[in-house]
Amino acid sequence: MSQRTIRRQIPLALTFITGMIITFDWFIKWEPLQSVTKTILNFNVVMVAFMMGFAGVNLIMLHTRRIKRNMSQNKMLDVAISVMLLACLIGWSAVGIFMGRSSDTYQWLYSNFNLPLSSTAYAATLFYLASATYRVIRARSTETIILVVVSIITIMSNMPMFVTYIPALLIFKTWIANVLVKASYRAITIGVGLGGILMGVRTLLAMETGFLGAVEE
Amino acid sequence: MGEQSGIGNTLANLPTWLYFSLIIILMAYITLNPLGFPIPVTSLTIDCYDAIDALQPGDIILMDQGYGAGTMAFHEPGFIVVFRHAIDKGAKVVIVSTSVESPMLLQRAIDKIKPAAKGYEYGVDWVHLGYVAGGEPAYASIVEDINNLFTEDWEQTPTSALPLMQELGVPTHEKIALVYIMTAGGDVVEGWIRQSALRYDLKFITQVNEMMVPTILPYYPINCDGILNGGVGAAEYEVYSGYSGEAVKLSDMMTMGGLVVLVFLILGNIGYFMTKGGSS
Repeated sequence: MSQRTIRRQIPLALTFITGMIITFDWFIKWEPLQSVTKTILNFNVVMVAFMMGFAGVNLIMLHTRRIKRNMSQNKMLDVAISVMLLACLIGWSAVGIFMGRSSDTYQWLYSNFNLPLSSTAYAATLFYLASATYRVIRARSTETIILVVVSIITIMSNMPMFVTYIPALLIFKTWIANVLVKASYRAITIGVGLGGILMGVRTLLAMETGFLGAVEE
Repeated sequence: MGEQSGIGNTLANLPTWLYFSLIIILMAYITLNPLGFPIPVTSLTIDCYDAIDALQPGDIILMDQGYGAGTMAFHEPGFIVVFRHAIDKGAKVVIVSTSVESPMLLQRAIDKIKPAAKGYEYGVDWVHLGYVAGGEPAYASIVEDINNLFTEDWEQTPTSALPLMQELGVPTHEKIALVYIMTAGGDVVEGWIRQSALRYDLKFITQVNEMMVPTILPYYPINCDGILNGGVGAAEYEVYSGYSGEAVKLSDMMTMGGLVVLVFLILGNIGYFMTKGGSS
């Protein structure tokens, strides 16, 4: 079997067959087809889980190389960051694998490290949000005047206090949401949907082969 | 005019430390001294409430507890109040997670809900299946045959030993009365809508971040029966349903956060107009 067949024809054939099965399953209710679809969908779940493990291995390889390079260049802070990342990755994985994902130790690690760090990072976005709003949203032109007015109405209507004392805000907000937002997002959604169908058909017909990576012709 | 543009310059170029400090002081003050602003209830929340309220005893809700630590502050109160309401309606709850860290956050919420105190038995009235990878194909698999995908729950108990899982059977979607998705990822809600509401016409409600609501609105009310608008939505649900919870307490902080952003937006623009006037 030639290299071209292995690296190009077989993946394309698999894509076509899998895609057609999943597509037909949406429209045709036939027990054998449903059974095959179920297997393919479950296989996808396993593949994604495998890819997450593979990404972990890739991360270890990447940072091992980075540690070597940074040590030779005497960048000790970068080395420390990479070492910390690897220690967390390997330590956490070891606890999960050997003690169980629902073990007290695993839960303790999550509750005392990930939870406060992640919450803090998210909460800090208020500062950046306030800063960005203050510095960027300026009524420089007709379009930005509209943006500023809509922003003010939207922010105020998302705050219970203002809506209580100025009920008209809710009318404005509902109008913006039901007319402007729905209309524009529906148009975008339909456009994306049509684009997705086109992309899907092209992929099934082997007209899009980017997902195969760099394959020599 | 020179003085005017001086004030304008000051307003347009406030130092970062000033408004960052102001945010910290205001948020700390409102946390320590809640003002108890009133909370009006919107139709999006009432629709969510109605969807849960229409459930009959024994109906099964499929919940995707897909929030992480970052958005937990407002997703968790929404999850708790909806779960409590479902318990009072006698509905059974199947929980899955499409976010890796969500399963670790569930116990916190369960400790507050206390289903056992209401006679809710694990495995019979509610189950927690844990994380599933795979995105939209995984959602399709869940609504098609959940037992085929999950062979054990989060605590690694075989699903064959859980009566509620046996009740779900094949096809799973025929046994599900309502789908409730909590997430901070836009593609998650759209994927669930396609695989459950659109394909099998299942009733569907969701709780998303405030900024995500516009992306879900095109599906409302045809494919999505109700939307909880982040923490505000959770607070509205608590007020409307009468269940006291944390969202109402957080509501003052959300109001203050919005107020801070609003004040800086207005100040920045006043400063901009004054400097623009000065230069002209």
